[in-house]
Amino acid sequence: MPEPALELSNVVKTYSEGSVSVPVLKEISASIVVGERITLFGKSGSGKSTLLNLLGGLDRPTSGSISVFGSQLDNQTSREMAEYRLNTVGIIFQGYNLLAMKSARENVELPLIFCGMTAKERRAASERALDAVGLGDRLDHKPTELSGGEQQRVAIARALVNQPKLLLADEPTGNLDSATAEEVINVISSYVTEHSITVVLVTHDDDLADRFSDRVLRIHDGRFVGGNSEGDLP
Amino acid sequence: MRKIDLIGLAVVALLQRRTRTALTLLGIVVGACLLVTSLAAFRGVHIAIENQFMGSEKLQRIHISAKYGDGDKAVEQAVVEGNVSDERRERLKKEIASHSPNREWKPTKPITPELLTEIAKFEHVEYVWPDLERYWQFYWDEHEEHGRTMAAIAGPQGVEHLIVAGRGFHSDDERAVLVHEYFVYDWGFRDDSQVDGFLSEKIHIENHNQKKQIASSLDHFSGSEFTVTEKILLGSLLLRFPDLVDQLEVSDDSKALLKRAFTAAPEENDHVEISEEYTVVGVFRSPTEDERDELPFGWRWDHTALILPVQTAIKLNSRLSGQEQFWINSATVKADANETVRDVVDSLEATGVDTHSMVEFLEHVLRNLALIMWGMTGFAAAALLVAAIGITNTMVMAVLERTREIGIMKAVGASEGQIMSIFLIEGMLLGLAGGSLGVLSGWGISLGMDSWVRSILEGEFHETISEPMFVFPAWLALSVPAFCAIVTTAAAFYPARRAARIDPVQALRHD
Repeated sequence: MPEPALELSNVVKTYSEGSVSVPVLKEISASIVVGERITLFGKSGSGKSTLLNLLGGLDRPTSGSISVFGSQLDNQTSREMAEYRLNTVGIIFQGYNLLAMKSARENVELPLIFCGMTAKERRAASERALDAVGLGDRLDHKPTELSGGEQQRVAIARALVNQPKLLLADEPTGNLDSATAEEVINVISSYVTEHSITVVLVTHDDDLADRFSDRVLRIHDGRFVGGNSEGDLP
Repeated sequence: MRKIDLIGLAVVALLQRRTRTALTLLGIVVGACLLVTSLAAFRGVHIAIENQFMGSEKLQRIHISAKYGDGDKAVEQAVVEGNVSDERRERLKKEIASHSPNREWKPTKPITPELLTEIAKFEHVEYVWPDLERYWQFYWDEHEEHGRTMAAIAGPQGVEHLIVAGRGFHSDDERAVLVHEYFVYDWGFRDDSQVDGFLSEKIHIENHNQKKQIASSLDHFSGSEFTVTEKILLGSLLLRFPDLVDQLEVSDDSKALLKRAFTAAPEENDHVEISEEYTVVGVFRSPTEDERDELPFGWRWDHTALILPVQTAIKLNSRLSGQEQFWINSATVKADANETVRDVVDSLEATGVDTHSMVEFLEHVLRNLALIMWGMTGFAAAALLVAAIGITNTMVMAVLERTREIGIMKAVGASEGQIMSIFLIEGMLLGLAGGSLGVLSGWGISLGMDSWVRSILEGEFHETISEPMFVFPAWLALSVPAFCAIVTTAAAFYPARRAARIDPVQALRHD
């Protein structure tokens, strides 16, 4: 039986604004095995980014439990959550989220700084990661000097430089033209295939979801619905 | 995460906002500059004052003097007439006692030879040097002179450095005398080689009960408030009309003394009361201005004719007529170290005599200096506080501006502690850099100010000042930046905590 990478059990996320509560995720349950490529598919506001934030340790569920590689994520301290984000998960954002004042290499080195790596080790690791995404010749370029696709490839290098076991990608091609999007997906695809890492990709591109993933989890109004997900629900 | 990387992130963040960092830094530089300059000035002046006193023995010398008062008995006997309040009556009784012709001129706490012996045994007392200045008639061979006689203690602490021929005193009760080189010259020992020939000669010191001497000493009979002119006239009148003594409003004792001086038979009047012979053991010169400043009783050494050992002088002076109990007006007591002066002063005050010492003056000056220093430091601290508030404000703004950056750092694995550390280090670096630049600025400013202040003081006092007006010891140069770093790190605490608590999800949505 394949080893579970992620297990979600009755996960609820509600945002409160004064006396008004807005339920975003409504008792979601799912199981994802190690090395599996999952696509979260749904419309804007369906709750897919919120779920990705919970999986990435950026936010906590209101109730329910999330287990990642055997560790309960929902009851960890903020320090343990930071270590989880640093060592276990890599996150790619739609808007790249690069530091504008820093070069491609410095952006990729950022998580390595928090690991306690020496400057020399960081330099070597960041160069390898940027080389792997095809930016070996753009190390010292600032984000403003790079195209959208190149910026996203820098973000991919940053997400993967720590060799995470779980990669979360929140609409990584959302801001890119189709040709560039294809390049970016190919970069992610080849890397995860080579390293057998678990991937959760958020997209509303049907074609991309079908081509990239082993399984598609469709989310609507905070709940998994139909499609491949049904069979995986506990 | 390594500390060097934390510092690196903080430095980069500061450099990315150069103008704001420079302006923030300027506030700290001004505060630190004020702080270091005031402390350096305090240190410099403190050292200059201490050196002024520590370099000489002045600080260890305590001047004691007999305590005078109107005496309880005279005050009790004073009669106040009229309808007056109790409070005013007490005041008037004291005034009447002090204006009475029968006023007692004996001190309420005289300095007696016995008291001097007692003081000499006090702990930490190195020597006691009484002031035994008196004018005597003295004779050598056929020469008759009249001049000031002083007393000196035996040994190198005394006047040995003034001796040009012969030796100093072997003991305080030696029957020896030192003679000023002028008299030796005047008496015919002109050549340098002849001066030694005067040693071992005998000097006679005598006191004559002469009318002129009494008349010139009418200061002692001033109960009826004679002016100087009146005293001169009175002396002349008494010489011609001795019976006028009965008309004087002076005490009975004084009246008896004056009568004896001016009405006695001539042979009784001019008799020699005291005549002593002393062996000349040395010839001395007048002290230079600097040497005179270092001797007790200062200017009195200028025209001194003879110097006697202290105990010998006490014996001689105590034989003078008109004094039932011999007492001395003042003396100098030397403590064995600067640190023990205060203890010796306390012991002396316990005996009832009046004391005056440089240590009290020095304490007063240093206390005032400390007050000025604390005032200046207060201003500097206020300037630093304003700068610190500026840092808090600037960094709160920086946290707002860097919200997205903080979110990204958290998303890639930075902990709350690491984010907080980055901001605290930014604050600390601002303090260290500002403090260090402040010290450098203060030092630079003090170089210019030092010569300016020195030129003003030298012009004012016509004296060369060798000590620097500003002193920057290593502890000051190090502690001011450290203090600034503590202040600015504390100022950065609130924004740092705010940065650490930023929600990464919200931060990543922040524009």
